[in-house]
Amino acid sequence: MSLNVLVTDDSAVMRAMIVKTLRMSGLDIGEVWHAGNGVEALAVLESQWVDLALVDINMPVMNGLELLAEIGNRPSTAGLRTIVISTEGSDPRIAQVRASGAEFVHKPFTPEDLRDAVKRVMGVAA
Amino acid sequence: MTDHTATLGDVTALTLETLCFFCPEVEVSELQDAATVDGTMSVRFEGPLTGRVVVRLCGGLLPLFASNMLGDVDGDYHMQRDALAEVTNVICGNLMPLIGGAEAAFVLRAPQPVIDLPGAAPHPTALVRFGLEESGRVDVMLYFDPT
Repeated sequence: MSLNVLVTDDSAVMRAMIVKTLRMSGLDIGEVWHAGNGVEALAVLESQWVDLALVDINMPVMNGLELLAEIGNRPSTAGLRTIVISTEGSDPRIAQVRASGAEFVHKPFTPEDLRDAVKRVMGVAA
Repeated sequence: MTDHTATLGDVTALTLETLCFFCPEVEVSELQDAATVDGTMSVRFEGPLTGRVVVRLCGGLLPLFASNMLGDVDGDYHMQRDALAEVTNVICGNLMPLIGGAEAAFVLRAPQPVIDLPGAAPHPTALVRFGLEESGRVDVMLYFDPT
């Protein structure tokens, strides 16, 4: 089954890199949606079927931690699998991300880092 | 060389290798040294320490930066500038826990283009330079705000 993916990052280059890496990973990727901040991401989630959300932390308007909280609070998105992809290096903040149920991938990442995180969060055997 | 210089060098080299697929050279040749500036980006950090990380790319490498990151797509000028901004952001983000500690929380502001290097702090706390390709160069500077 193809994975429909939402990539949320305020950098268009980083979104393109993530999509390129996903497509190189051997995973079956279906539709890919882009959002530049948390508010745009929520709009996509309200209107499209998304299996996996990849989320940056530092973004304008609504940051990644606020977006994760909103995803968890909304009945329509509460079970969504999420991966945070960020330069964040603060242990307490990374712990906060993991406590929300999201995987964490640190920038810069290798294709293997991202592929393995997707498999873990989707429950696919490595 | 200060501890911050060594740390900045390590973070910069890792970022250039992993994100941009460059092999940064510690020894800068005369040709690389004379390279003209393509663009400069700055990311401000705020937390237990405040200041900025500035990345200056030289030698006409901006399109190669973007194509290496995006995969054979040079992108337009905005995408190329965004590529340099993202590199600056990643270097700054990775540097913060190494100089501020893993428990420290920093806020990184959005990358901003720099026309002239910050006049208020003409001497960076740390400066590293790497040769890139045959005739390119990257300079990375760490500034702390005056206390």
